[in-house]
Amino acid sequence: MNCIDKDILQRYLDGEMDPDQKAQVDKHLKECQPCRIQLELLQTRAVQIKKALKSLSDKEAVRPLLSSMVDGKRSVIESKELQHKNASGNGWKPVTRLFYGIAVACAIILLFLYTPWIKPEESQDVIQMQAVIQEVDANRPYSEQETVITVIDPDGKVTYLK
Amino acid sequence: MSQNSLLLRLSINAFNQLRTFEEIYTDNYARLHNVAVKMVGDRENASDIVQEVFIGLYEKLSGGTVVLYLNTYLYRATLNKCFDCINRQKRYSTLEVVPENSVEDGSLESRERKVVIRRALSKLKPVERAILIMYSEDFSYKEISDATGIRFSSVGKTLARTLDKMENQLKSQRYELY
Repeated sequence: MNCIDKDILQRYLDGEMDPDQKAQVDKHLKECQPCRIQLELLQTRAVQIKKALKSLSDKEAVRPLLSSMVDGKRSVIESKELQHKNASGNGWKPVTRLFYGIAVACAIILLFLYTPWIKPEESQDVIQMQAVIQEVDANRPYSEQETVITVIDPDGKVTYLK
Repeated sequence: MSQNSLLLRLSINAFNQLRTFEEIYTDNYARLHNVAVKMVGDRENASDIVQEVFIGLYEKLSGGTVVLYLNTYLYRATLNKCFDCINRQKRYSTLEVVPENSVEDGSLESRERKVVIRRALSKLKPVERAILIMYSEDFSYKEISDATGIRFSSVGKTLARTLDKMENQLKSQRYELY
């Protein structure tokens, strides 16, 4: 006969088995020493782990007064919500927060790049074409010589300055 | 919420027994608190969780809802809140979940043993932790199944595996089981 699975032995020792199945296990255990040893080990293990976990019980737990708990429940709930909000910054999930962060950063960069911070001032200069026609005679005094300056403004008006 | 409303007798369980909210609170607080302490690892969070559970129950009952399976409701609500708390701890803490303020009285040796047990527990998945803790509090498979949401037929198998894991965790920290 095949030996019994651990989980069936576990159910057996916890008394969580229907009578028929229990009778079968009982019968097998009578005939099989390895299973009896296994059952004994499982039992010791269960007792020890239960004992270990029971040692963690908080014996000093003080039950708050019911009236104080119910009367003050609004403030408790509010302060807890606040705590959660503070813990997570603003109540958003980290991924959402990261996404919004990146979006805002990009928007600021784009704004910075495309903002014409320094507009080139419109030029107030009048473009003119001008030419100086001068025939210089080195042997005559400068005051006796004539200089003609031709100025053509943007409208095409021609002025001769002598 | 006046004090008088607490004394309203509420029909709340499957056998149509009448119990006051105060009786429910007094009868169940310590056990729920113990489960929560072991689940989340510290007293402060456990107290908050149990308080929230009772506030939730109070609101349900005073709103006219009939809670048929009171124990199932209480343990399921507590475990769900513990799972949320564990997730928060994981998200916002890179430290190992063995809070220092959980250290109880006792000799150095017993304190060290408790730290080892807590550490081993913290290595289990939250559901496994819940199964083991409820098992250690002598709950039946049916109650464990109702509170954790695991199928009744799977409790034995999951429990056996979880006990294996816990045993290995304890052994790896040189905790003598036998």
